[in-house]
Amino acid sequence: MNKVKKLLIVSSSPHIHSQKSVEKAMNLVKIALLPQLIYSFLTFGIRALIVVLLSVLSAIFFEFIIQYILSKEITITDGSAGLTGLLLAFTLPPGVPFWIPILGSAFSIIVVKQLFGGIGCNIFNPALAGRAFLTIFFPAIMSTAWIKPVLGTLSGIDTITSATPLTVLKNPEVYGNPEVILNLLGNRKTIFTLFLGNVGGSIGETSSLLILIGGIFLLLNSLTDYRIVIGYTGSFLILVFLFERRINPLFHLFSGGLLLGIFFMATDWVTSPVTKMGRWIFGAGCGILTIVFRLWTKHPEGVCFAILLMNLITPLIDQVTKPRIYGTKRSFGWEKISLNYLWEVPMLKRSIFHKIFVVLFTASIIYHLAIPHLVIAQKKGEVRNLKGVIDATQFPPVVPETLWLALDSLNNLKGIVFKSYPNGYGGAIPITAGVDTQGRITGISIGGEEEGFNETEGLGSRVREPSFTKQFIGKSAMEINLKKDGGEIDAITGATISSSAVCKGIRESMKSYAIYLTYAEAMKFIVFPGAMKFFSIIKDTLWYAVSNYDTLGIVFYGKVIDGNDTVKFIAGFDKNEKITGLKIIFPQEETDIKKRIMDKVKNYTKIYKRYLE
Amino acid sequence: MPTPKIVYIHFSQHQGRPAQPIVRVGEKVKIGTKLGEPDGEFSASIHSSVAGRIVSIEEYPHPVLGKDLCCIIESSEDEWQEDIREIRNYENLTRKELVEIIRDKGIVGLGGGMFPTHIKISPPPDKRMELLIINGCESEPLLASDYRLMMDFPEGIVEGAKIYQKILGANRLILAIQKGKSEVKDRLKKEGIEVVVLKNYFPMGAEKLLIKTITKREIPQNLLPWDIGCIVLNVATCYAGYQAVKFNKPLIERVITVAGDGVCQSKILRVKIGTRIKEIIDYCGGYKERVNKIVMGGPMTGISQFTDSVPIIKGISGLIILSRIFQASQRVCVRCGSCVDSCPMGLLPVEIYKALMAKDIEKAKDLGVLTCLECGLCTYYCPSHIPLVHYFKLARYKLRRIQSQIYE
Repeated sequence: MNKVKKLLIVSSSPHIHSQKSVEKAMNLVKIALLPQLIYSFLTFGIRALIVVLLSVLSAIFFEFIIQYILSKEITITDGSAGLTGLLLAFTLPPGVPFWIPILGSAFSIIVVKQLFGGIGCNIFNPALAGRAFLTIFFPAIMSTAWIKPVLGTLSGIDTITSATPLTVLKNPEVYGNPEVILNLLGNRKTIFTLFLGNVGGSIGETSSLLILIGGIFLLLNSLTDYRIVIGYTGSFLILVFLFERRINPLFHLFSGGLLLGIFFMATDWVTSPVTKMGRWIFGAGCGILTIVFRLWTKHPEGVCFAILLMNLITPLIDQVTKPRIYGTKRSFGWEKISLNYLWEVPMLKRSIFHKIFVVLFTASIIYHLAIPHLVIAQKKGEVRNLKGVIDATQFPPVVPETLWLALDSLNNLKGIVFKSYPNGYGGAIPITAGVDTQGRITGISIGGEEEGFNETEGLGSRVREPSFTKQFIGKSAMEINLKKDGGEIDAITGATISSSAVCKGIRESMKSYAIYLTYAEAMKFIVFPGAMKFFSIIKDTLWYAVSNYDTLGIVFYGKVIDGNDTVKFIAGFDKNEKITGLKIIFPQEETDIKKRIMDKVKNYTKIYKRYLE
Repeated sequence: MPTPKIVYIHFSQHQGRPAQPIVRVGEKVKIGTKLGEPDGEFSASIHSSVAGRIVSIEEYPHPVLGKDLCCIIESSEDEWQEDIREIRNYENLTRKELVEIIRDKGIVGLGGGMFPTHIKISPPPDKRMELLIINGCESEPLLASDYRLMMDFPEGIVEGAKIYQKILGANRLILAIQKGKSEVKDRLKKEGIEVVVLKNYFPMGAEKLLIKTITKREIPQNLLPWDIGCIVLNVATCYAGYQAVKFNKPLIERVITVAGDGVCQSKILRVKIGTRIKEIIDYCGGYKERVNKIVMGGPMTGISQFTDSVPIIKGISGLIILSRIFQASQRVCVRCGSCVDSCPMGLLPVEIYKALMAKDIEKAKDLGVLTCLECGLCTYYCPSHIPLVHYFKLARYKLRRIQSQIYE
């Protein structure tokens, strides 16, 4: 009978526990992230997996090191450092150099987390703060290191390299005809592709579906608070439906890191409010800021900065949304509020270091949002550059970064623009040149050192001077050669090699791209924006429009008899039999039989659609 | 449960001052003999639950106070005090006489509060009593004593309730039970009482929340239920009151639930006040495995005992024997907000905790630590295993001491 040992355990009530624990929670969050991780590995390849591993391992390593140095209790077993590393990696482009995740983890763990007192005391979400740090200081890497998913890509947009759908949306005009691009981004198929995740983007943000599954898994396990999720999604959707007039609002919901932010970043325990009311406010605030950043700043994405700025005022929200204590009247305590709540956590005294850090970090976020986005600025510069050599307004790309069609605002072909890099005396000479529909140069410009120009100062470098480049205007390919070789171009004295290289580059590019000046050839690109190649099905009549990976639709050539005249046109339709474009080739002037042509196009569509089956 | 050989009856089985012993060592007592007179108004009387000889009056382990003065009685025969069991016609008694009976028979709140009932049912004359709520909600999970009592003695409870209603002059009488007890509802309804069925969640049995759920009104801070015209009495208190008034029987036994994974058979027993845990567990088939914790009361707010020789006192409604217990090292707070979500009183346990860690007891007071029910939900849900209730109890104790010092 004496199974009772002498010592019974005496402790304060309660004597039972829900078995919840921080470790379990962290593990469940990791499980929720797993599907997307596997998916990234499948789409972006081993490189994405290495980035994730580096990030996770270095986060754990830095946590250990800093806790050892500060002689704190080592808490790497609670799984929070690993989770921070994982979430950080999820926000990175898959093609980043390998030191980026390590540096990001170091900043997240050491500065943002441990120097503020470790888990539970940090003001900013460590993973997001790490990403913000990398974005601010390495904008070039963070906005260009995308990898095309191997499963195929968003049809049409993949003609544009190094851009996420949101970047394209931000400045569609630099990627081609804005109307067409917006149409492409906003159609159902694109949104469905975005939803499934067959797009470029950060490691952990591509598949909305898988993120959603993970997020709902967390909600069902009550690890994330539904108030933040609903507040964020709700306010975001309301605002996007109110203010986004250019494109289907659902595009915004499924693109970029929004869902990852909603389910895994905004709901972070440590950096979100503890009160129920506070969570609604926090979620709504995140949604509002995200929309503001996406629509009204020069940056395509706003989730990361929106959540970080809301993190900053979390203690303040907690302070003003204290629940009403039973048997008392509601008191807001406005009078007690001071700016100190921005960095005070009751248990810890914040030193001047923390205050300076918070101020600087916030300031740099705001500064970063105020300056133009790097990729967009580059793209804009590029268009300005193209406009400099030919008089046109739109430049749909034919060969990425190399060949563009030049169209005026009415979609009439004005010519082409190409880039060429012939070898000069000191390396490749970057040339941009425009050619009109008659095959004559409209203008050339030679890039500076930032594009790799490296000819001898005072000699070869003089090829950039207008006196040299002006000679090319109005010349045809035949005439572009140095005078000593039978052409019409005066060489720069003492820089024959450079001069000759320029001529050679332009001449050869003109010859190889001449086909795009034939009206019909260029028209294919115009009536089927986004296609990269056209494979002939019936010679001179019917073509497949093809992207890098996928057949997108059909382009065909047709005619309508109008009295004595024959109207010739070219048109394209996609897999959904939607007309992608229609262009009348002959006669050149406007005809008033548009409606008849449209009927004819529809007839043709019915006939040719079998080629897509 | 049969009468034990020896019982240990404490003189402090209620809130307020302990009863004054009126018996001497060696004296013979009968069942129902008064052992202690109330010391002042805020106290209650104590009666013997067995007939026999008083062996000693000494300090003995007490389930709440650790150690306290106790009357140890060796039971020998089964002889009742003469005036007990005669059926009294109480119809003609005045309110004052009824309250005097309640006081004399040592009735206290049997839900766990152990607040002397005669005080509770004597509100200041200027207060009008609107509503008397009979609390049939189990105060804690695992316990079923109230349920059993309602199943077995519905008529006694209802009659007791009506006696109290008469004393208080309350307009309305409501009996509150939890969902999923339809049999009880039918039985009680047959006896002619208004029954309200409430949701089944912890801590519905708490007085303040019960009043809020039924009347949609809250008791303002620092006021008592009677200030808003409400009185809450437990069903067991009702039954005890019924027996006291009708049969002149003092409070000498009560119903307790014995449960937990450390005891062979879970039982609901009627036990004599003063029976030691040891004997109750032997009656339930003994301990099952290595026992780590013995809890008097329920699993959420009960008090863990350092020995199994402590006796049952009036306010103990359950006995939980645990062999598998939850033990995990405490981690730092991660601000998950589970405690805030769970607090039935609208407190911010996380902020109170942080204030207490910063040794800022005044701030904790501002944040409402004195409103805390000590229900234990915050601690139950805390993923960092912080014993929040422990800190709050300490703070409340300190604050009360500061207050009483100011009085003196």
